[in-house]
Amino acid sequence: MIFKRIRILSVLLVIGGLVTGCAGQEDNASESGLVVHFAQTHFQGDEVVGALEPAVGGYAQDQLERHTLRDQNGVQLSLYRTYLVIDDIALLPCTSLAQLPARVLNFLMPSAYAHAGHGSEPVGGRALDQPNVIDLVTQDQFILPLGDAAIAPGRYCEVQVSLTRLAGEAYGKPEFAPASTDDPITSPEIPEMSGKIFALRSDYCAQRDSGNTCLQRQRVDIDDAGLSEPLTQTLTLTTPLELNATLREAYLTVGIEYDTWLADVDATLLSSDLNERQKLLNNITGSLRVFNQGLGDLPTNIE
Amino acid sequence: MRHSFFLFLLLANSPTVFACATCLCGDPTLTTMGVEKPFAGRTRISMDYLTRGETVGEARTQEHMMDEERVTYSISYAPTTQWMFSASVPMINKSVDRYDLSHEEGSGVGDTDLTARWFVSQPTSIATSRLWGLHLGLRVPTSSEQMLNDAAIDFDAQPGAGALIPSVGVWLGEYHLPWFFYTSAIVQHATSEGYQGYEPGNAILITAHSQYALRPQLALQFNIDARWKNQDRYSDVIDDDSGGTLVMVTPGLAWTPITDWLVSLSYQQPILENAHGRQEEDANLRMGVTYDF
Repeated sequence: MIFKRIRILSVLLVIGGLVTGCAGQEDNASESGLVVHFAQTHFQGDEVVGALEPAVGGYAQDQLERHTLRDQNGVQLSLYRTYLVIDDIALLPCTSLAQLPARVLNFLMPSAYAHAGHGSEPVGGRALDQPNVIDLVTQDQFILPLGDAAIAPGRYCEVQVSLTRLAGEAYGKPEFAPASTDDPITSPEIPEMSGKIFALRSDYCAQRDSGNTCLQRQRVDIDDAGLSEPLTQTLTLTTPLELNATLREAYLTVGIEYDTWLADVDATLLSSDLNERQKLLNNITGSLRVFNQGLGDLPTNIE
Repeated sequence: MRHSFFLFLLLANSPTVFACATCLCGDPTLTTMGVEKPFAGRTRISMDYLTRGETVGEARTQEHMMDEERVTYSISYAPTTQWMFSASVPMINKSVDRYDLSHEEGSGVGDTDLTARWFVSQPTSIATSRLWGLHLGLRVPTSSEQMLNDAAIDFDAQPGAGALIPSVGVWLGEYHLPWFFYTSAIVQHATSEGYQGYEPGNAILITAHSQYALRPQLALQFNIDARWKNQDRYSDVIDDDSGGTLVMVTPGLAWTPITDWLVSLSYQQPILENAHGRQEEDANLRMGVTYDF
């Protein structure tokens, strides 16, 4: 009897193995998916070369790293602390006639596109599952990786970049530090970025003598308090990015062309006039560019 | 007549519902323990093959398709007419294909189901037409977390959940040859976390099973299996694409080609999916062979 039972059990085991190709063997496997490496940089399109104009009342211009912008009247605004919060980066599929009904449907009932908030992988301490705070007073054209994002196969023609008011955690968020008490200030305040889209600590020359020497600098310490939010910019890619089972990796660097920020702005009114600050925020959003893009990994920075 | 009646009871044991790792739709004990009237010393072994699939998550940004094949080996034993015990060990292959063309596969021994069925009412004669009782179950994490290159593969490709899940329920069987009806309600509550911070939501499994014997050796079956489940969590974060209500219908047949052997085939089709997020259960197929000692 016992032999009969063993035979039956054996038959069942053999049948099971044959049916499933030996299900349950520890035979694990994986294949990585399509990925886009996102990065950020900032740059000046038309370089502003202004003479150094140190004076009291502002920041110690000659001692501090800075970027200098020129407003509509030629006033040079020097930035000593500049932070900007990027939230989401989303690649948008190309629209073809075949896809038009789906795009119309999506307009009526919005759904998410392949964007970086899902399946994001950290790179260099940053990732795209949280907002990224960007410090603009750093080396121009330095490629800062923001993280890798999984993406569905397809042909992508645009990238949508969103700024946000920072709520909660973020990558690259600076720790608040008060300004030094000397005049000119040798250590500008590091602003608290919670609840902010951007913050500047800057100054310009407000008073000159007859020889055009700067006598007094005026600080411009502003952020986006009270401003409305044109926070999303849709940028057309230089050429469509196509990702599929063969082309599995691409990169895209979002650039911030910051010398366009004051194109139609009076820098001397920024501290006092909400409209000027609104124009500045609009220009910040409008300064987002596709800096570079391509297949493969991110280009490396040149030392 | 008596021979026919026993064949009918054997047919009544046939596997008709699913006990997959994620859907858990239906009474997981029918396969292993059957639903016939008990007798002391009864032993049975069975082997079931199940293939199922599921698509979860928002298209283009989170979507992943899971496919699963499992072979479950079971043994049950009734020491008395009041108690029956069973153990089921699944061997599982799972694969996950995601929207970004990434792919993962995991395979191994799944989690073992240990079950006790208590026959509260006892058959007083062969003519007894109604039995009922209680179900006590425990899913034991006998699986191991599958790894690849020293990293754990994704939870959705793991053959087991790794959580300890007790269950309790009540069942009722009605015997009216050539008809047979069985229904059960089972509550599951995990008492420990699974792999990768998995915290399964509480679940209620409802099964309504009917069977009509065309001949002593052949029966048609029809089930309605339902599952209501709380959302799962991973490390205290709610899984948006989990939980909800799933109702499936399962037509099938059971055939006894040789005395003591039972071959079964069933097809499970979702008819109601009122789930959180996006969860689309595919139609499932199941085949089984059972031997009664």
